[in-house]
Amino acid sequence: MLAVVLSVPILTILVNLFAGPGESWGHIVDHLLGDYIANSLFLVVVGGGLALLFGVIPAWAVSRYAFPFRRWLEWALVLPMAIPNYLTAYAYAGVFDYGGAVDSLLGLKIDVMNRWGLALVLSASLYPYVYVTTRSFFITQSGAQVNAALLLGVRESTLFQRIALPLARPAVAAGMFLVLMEILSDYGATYHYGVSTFTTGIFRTWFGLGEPDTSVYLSAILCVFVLILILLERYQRRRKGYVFGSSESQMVRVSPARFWKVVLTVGCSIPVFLGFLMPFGQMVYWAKLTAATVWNDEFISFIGYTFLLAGLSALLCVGVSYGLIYGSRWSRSDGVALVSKFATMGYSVPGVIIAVGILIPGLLFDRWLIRMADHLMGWQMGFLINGTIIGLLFAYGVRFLAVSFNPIEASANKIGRNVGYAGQVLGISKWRRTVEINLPLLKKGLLGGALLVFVDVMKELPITLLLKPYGVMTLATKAYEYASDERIAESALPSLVIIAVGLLPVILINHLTRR
Amino acid sequence: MHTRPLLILLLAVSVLAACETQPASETSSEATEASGELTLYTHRHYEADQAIFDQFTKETGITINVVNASADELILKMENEGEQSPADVLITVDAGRLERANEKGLLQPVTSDVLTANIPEHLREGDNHWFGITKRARVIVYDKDRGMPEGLATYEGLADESWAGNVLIRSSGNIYNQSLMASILAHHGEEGALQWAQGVVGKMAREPKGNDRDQMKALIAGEGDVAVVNTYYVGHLINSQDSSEVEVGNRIGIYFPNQDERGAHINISGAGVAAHAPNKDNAIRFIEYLTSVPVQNTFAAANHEYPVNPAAEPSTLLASWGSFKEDQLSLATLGELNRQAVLTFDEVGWK
Repeated sequence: MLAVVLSVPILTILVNLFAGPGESWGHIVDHLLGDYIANSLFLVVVGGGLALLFGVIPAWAVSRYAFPFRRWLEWALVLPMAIPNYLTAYAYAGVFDYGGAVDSLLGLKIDVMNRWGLALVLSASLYPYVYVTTRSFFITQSGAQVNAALLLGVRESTLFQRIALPLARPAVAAGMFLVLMEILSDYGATYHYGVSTFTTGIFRTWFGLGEPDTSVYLSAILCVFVLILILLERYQRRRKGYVFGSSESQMVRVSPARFWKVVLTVGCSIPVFLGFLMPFGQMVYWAKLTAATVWNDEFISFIGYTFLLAGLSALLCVGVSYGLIYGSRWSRSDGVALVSKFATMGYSVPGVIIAVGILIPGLLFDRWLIRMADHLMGWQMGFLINGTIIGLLFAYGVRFLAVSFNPIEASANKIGRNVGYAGQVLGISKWRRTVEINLPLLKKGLLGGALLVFVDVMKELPITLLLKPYGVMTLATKAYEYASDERIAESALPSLVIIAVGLLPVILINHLTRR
Repeated sequence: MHTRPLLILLLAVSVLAACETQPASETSSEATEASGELTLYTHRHYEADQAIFDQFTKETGITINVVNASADELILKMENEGEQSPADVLITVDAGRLERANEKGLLQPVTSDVLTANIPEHLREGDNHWFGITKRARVIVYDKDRGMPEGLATYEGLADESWAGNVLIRSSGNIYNQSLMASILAHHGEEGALQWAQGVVGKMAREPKGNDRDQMKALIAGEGDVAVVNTYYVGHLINSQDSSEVEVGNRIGIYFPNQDERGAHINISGAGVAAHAPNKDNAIRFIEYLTSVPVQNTFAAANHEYPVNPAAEPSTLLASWGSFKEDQLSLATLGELNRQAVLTFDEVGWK
């Protein structure tokens, strides 16, 4: 039931696949579709590939080796997660701009505002998804196998390639899935860099051509593409059964030769520099210039709203994820499992489309409710969903369910079904099993999922803009306001607050995945 | 069974949410009669605007609820809200979007002698569905240090061979470019516009990217000889907190194109009264207020725009650029031709 409700926005969109596109479809196929496909694929391959490198290699390095600054780098590698993609993109443009740092300090003119630059920006700001899932796996799961392999004479040089990486595949895939979804649905950075992808195309058709039906048709095609990705990920996971032992045996950290220590320290610093230090530095510089004009009392209320929305959505997403996972586990029906997958697709759809997928049915429902309330009870009421916090939270739920679903599902898979069966055999009630067995066992997954959602909601833009109630202003919408006026320097202060607030959960995630 | 704690959670959230929203729903329905309310859907969000809204509240006792988002999103919102929409006034930063809102039946005609007196005819919709409140020109700029390039004359001229590899202009996804194209379409027809766009694409210094400020920075960096930008961005650069931006701004020379014929392409930031405005009288009063001479002086100047009211004075900076002849094309046309403009851009591969 829940899953069905959650699928409404996506279904609203997918139904349009059958309704067909609007009149400009031919025009789009002739002039634009090729570019959309080519650029989207380019970003997925190049940006995704770079994110894979930035994520997996440091994850292995910090888990396996001892080198200077390792403890620092271990958590600093997560930091880019605190910066929204579009802000990183603006900062990069600023750094490489005329009169920017690279120009004035090094005298170099490098153009980042093209698809290569975009791929770099996206990978530098998104790789932590891969890093977090992979590192958490290396630390907690792979100890026994790695130790066994070493005993069996596998050499250090091939350990990563032959043992660790194949073992970590599900974890890497889970992180990569999130990265690819983010890449596909990015609008702010992609538009600013002048690259046309499916998502910028969706906006352009909707708002430039004023053809929502064609735009929704494009979204539906994107959805199908994502569905294929999801199935591929499932498929690669299914082919092999992964059985992991207890998380007791830890991998032993070894200390490599001095040369390699330097390589590891420098190598692991690169993603931190690209994804965090450089954009962060640029923003600090901008904030220093503009803080006086931007800072005022309202800021505290922005922070308050942002926290409230992010916190409530995190609770909601985690609750629903839990329900879906255990719903599908106990009912054993493929139907529920399928609907779960379907419900988590929201992550791949641009926020604006989700917002519209909610606006349309939400308004129908609201109008019906208003009429009924008036008719039956004589009540005069306002909208229940539209422009209220309920509608907004619902939208966040749809959009970010996958973010909490995946880590919770991963934890649930680790526990396996037997614990539940054992409880059942022992005659413990479902309610008690939930509270006393599942929740404590799932603690890490639940908290991890909640924090990821929290950070994502804080950064979220299009849904908030479209569905937020009056007077509610989040830090992200404030930053966007400035940026859309081409006052990017002014957007730095709210951005820095987003980053600062985002750091708390990031540090917590880090702490949790460190065990 | 497992969903029970969930349901409780959801219930708790919705109760919480209901508490949150109650005041809002009350205000939208009841406070209407109590007078003193106005809901503003606006794409403009400058600090100076807020100061003017506050001043309005002080003078009239009418409080203003501001909903900020892009014009496209606001239009979408109004469309979906239909008769229940709380919006009284829609403000956008270009005429094309206002006309689109009008075509969708989201605005209502207004009879106000004040508005017709304050605003020149070509800056408002024919049946008074919307009104310009500030004005901006899309001009050609050059680097003053290198001097004005020879042969600078018209938008049409940018398609000439002599500019090959030297024209800086942003992407076609931008509404200001779409409106410029719409004006070319209006003056030269489909075939002419197509040829012009094809010509300009061939003369571009680089693939279109970035915003108007970026075009000017690229110009000063020597990537091209001329850039097409809106006037107020020059003002923004000159008044930037960033010294390197100020330097760029100070080197920008402004050229108003097509002065010997139809005049420079202009656009407006404008306002219309929502079709289902719960506070129609307040809405009209508000727009009248925005176009009054004292408010025009600050309102336009805050964002380095030109006032629409001929009795108001442009700021010192704008006055220093000199007066210019403006294209008298009805701005409603820009909205009508917007779609055609986008299609034309796509056909010639203007990214």
